Amino acid sequence: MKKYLNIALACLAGIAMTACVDHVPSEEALPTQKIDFAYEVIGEKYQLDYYVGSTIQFYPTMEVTTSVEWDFGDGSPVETGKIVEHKYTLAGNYKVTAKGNGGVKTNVIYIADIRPIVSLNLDEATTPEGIVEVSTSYISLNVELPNPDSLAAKYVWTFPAGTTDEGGNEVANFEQFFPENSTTPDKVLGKVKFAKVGSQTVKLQVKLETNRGTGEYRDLDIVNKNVQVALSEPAPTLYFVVKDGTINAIKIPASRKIEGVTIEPYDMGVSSGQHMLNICYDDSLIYLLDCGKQFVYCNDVDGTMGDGRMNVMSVDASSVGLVITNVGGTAFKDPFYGFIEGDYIFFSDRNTGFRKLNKNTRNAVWSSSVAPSYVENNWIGYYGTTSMIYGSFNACFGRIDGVWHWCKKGNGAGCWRFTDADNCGYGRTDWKMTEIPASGQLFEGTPTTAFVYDKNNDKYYFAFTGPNEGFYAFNGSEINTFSPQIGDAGLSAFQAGQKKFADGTGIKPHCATTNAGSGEGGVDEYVGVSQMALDEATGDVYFMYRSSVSSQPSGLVRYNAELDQLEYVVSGIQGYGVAVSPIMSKLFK
Amino acid sequence: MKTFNKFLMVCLAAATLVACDKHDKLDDLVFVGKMAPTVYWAVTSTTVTAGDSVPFTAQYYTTGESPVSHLEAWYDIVEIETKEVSAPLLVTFSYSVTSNIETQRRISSSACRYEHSEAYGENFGVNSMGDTTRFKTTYKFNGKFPTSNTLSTIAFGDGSWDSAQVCKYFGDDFMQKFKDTIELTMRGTLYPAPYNKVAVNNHWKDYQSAWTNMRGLSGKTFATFLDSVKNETESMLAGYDIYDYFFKDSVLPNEVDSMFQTVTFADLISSGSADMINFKRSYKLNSQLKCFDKAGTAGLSLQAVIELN
Repeated sequence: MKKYLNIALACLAGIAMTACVDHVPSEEALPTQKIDFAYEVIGEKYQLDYYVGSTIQFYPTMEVTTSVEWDFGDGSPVETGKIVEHKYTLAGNYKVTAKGNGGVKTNVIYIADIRPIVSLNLDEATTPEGIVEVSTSYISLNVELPNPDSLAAKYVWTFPAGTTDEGGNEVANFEQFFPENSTTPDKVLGKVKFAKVGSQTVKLQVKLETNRGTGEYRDLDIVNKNVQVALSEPAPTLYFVVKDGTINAIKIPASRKIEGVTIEPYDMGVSSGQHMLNICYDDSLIYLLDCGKQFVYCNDVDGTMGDGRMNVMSVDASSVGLVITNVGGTAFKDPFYGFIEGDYIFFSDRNTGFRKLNKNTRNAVWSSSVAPSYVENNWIGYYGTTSMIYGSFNACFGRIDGVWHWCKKGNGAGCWRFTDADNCGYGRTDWKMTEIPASGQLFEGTPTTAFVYDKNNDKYYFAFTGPNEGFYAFNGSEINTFSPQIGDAGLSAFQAGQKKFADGTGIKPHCATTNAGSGEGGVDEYVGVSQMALDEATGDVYFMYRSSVSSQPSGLVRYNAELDQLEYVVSGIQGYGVAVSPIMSKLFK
Repeated sequence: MKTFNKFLMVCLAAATLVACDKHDKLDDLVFVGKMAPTVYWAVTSTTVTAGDSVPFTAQYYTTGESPVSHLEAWYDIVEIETKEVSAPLLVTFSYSVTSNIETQRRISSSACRYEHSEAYGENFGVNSMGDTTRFKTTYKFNGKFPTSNTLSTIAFGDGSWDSAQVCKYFGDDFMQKFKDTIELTMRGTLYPAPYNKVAVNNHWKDYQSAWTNMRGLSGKTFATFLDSVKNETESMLAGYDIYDYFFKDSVLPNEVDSMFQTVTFADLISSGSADMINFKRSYKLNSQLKCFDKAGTAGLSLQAVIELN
């Protein structure tokens, strides 16, 4: 029996070894759909535009062995052929279906209506610096109208208030008519200049004849040409984030107002993202911290709901790049608040701590090695001995003369101060937990959303929500009066620091529980005033005010240091972060 | 010894079976394709004006048998459309229409082609034999790809909207439907009598707001349409008299009804200082750089999202 067993085992080993074919994996045709297709415009011009009337070629992107039926989605007859061409007669979105090779595939295609291209020509004599200056620089406007059938066209121009021609006549509206087969209008639009600083929008409505000789016209999409009109004297620039809009900028001359000149914001054309609570200026760049759509508690079980990112924009918005993204990461680790010092940008998460990142980082994906933790709640002695807890909600932070000021708006509200020597560097429970940093805390229990320090004048500015909501200014010499917390004795001095509008009203920042509609953020996580910016030249402080009362509009508010009062710079808008570029320029740089 | 030989044989057989390519689980599970070139890129700006080009820097190399032929920038087009309209002067209820939709409008297509050039070569190295012969390992070049002027943002809102735009981008009947929905809520005509009377009474404050704020008519005149009754419970709790108001006979007065027929869409969306309407249609490009070798095999870069304005 043993003998048979030995033979059987030997045979098994032999079969196993000889049955094996030693082969290198061969290249295989990767699996594909049965049919798929692509399309492109045929011709040398407007290949990217997909204008109405363009010839578009549709073709399979794999080898097909059967005929292909093409349904172009515009009600035209189905065509058969491997490669076909088609023209759409109306602009719109269509679904194109290819049937063949045993499969069916539908793709979308957008056919664009004719869109005029408006460009500026600067008058060399009045634009020596290559920028359009208010009240002095003349420009002319050029229009390229893709008009393959040379149809008659009417141009209806609308100019912003105060626009004048070379004769000094105000130009509000101007109409031109181009007959069929002609590029010469009945009237020539001359040079114009603008009376306001900021984005001046010139509107062009082109009416194109529907068919030759019909005398009927259809409206093309209105084109808005944004002309960035510069101040006539150099001044810093304030950047601010408009909710659900774009980054805006506005010139802030030292005189605050210039006689006879209206200063309006510039639309920088860069999206405001979801919740850009902080933006930070550094070396001709604006860092944009967007904590994403979900910025309060969410049940991010898998740690994949992060949708925040940090971008960087040049001061003239000519380029925007990615610094770091947390899309697909843990939601609470999105970049909420930021501070730049030296080579580093520090950015906080929702409620744990803040991290250190080289400010020259680009196109990075969030990781603790790229942006290691700099401090966390339980790395400093406040943790466990004061109201600061593990989930204290972050707000603005920064370092003044070596002392970190870390604002918290809930679960341990106030402004927590510490030095690097107080930072243990990692979470411990046996380390100095009874040793509160000597710098001390400020306003314990008062939700503190933003602050800025004016070193030239040794003044601190804070924004609070809660019972002491408002905008406050404190002298550096008295700031420690409010440490460790606002007691009865310090309350009157604290309240005396509140700054108000000329009518005697203070700001009332919105909060979620009381302001349906304008409220944003959960309990203890009110956005409030999400950032302040200091104009060092004047000592003025700027912030985006989200009002909770109908008697006060939301808007860009300035604390006028000279008048010692609040005033609106732009009213009727809601927003988040603000930053000052100190570059003295007529435009941006 | 015999036992050891048997054990050895069994182990050998098992090892052979497991190690055999026939039982290479990896090969069973994956398709082995051709070696594609590797390509990286970084766009200079993720936001550009429609019609402008998008500059980028690219690096590429191949370890396959076929040399690089050319590169192509590809992108698809996604439309982002947001609409917001609300009636801010309504008192007892809020009504708004909002939407935020992202839709692919064109599939990924080639936008620009860049021929490979040996002049792009850099990063010289030494081959694996330690040979002093130097060879090029990677290529680097700066390029740009075009965008279409037709993809510029269309936006209007307070101070820049008109009826024609609303018809074009919200639909021809949008303004009428907006008003109809509000009016149906206020009149309660969805409900049979006498329930519609309850609705009318509940919404007298909305009619009052339309009367005074939208039409600028006298509040005193409006008061003549109302009747009231003391609310005993709330008065007792408050310590002073509190009255409940309602339209006389619980019927919408003809004067008020006629007034509301003159209220326009523009009246409804005005807060007195601003019009609560916003429309924005913008586009973004999901772009990739493809590096093709002469056999037609393409390597793909990471995707860069370009926002157009």
